[in-house]
Amino acid sequence: MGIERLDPDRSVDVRAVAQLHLENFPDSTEARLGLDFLTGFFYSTIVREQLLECWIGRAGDDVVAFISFTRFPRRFHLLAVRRHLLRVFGLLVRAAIDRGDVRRVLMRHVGSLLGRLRSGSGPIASRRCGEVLKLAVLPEFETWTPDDGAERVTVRLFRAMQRRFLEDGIGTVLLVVRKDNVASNLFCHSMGCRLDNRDAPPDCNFFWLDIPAAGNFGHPARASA
Amino acid sequence: MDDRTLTTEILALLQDVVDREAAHDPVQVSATSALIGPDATISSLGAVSLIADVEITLAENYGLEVMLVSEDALSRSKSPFLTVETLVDYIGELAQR
Repeated sequence: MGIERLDPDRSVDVRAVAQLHLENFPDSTEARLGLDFLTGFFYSTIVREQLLECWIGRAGDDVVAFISFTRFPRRFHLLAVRRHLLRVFGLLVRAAIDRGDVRRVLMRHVGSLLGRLRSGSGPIASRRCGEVLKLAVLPEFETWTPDDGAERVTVRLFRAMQRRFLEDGIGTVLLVVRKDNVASNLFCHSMGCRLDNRDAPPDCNFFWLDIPAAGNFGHPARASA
Repeated sequence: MDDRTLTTEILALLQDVVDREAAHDPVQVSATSALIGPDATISSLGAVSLIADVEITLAENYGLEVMLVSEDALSRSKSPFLTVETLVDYIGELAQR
């Protein structure tokens, strides 16, 4: 019990993370592409290739929370698609055949996706930073503290992310949060992230987290004014 | 708007949230109880619920219609939502605008 790095070859955990993703982020592009995409590619192949890193919180045998992050902000999808173009194409076609809403998403984004695949960068691609992609916890475990630590599971997952970025020499982390997601906005702010919406789309907040080189992840919300 | 009265009202709302979330492990709240962050006495969803309750109280009891979680609040280096005390200070600031 506690937190650990997701093993992309442990299918039961991969499936549990994918289910949490689907339940917590049903409107995300990855969720719209379906469970097979999440289990067969997103939380397996690209985790194995270290384009994406994922840590899980475990209560007994069950995965109750996860955090995913990348060293390739705003462009790790493109790197993954480039490496596995045919496979991704096959998964997308299968999802599009199965579901009408996926067809609409693909039609809407195919032009910009092709353009970005050619250029290989978004507005933040040149910055030396990481990005947190998703943080989710089952509601009944939100205030749960794993047996082997003193902090809540979400805080411990957040700390694990900070430690990993510190180890990789990454000094800044981006967290993109929808403006209407009040709980996530409060959580990011309480963990010491600062709001800077330059480059942000109108419906999202861009939070930035500095990773202290000394690795002191103290109580960020109590920073002085 | 009297800070002491507002603090008492918010503490009562916070106690309701705590009692709902920690029914088996009752906790007594105070003005310095953490609302968000690693030491929070309530979950982040509980914090959202509390803030909504506070907004309703401000509108009904003081005629103050505000959205507490704003870009201004989230841009501050010291979170206004850290404790009941900091929240009351922040509301006082908003009321004076």
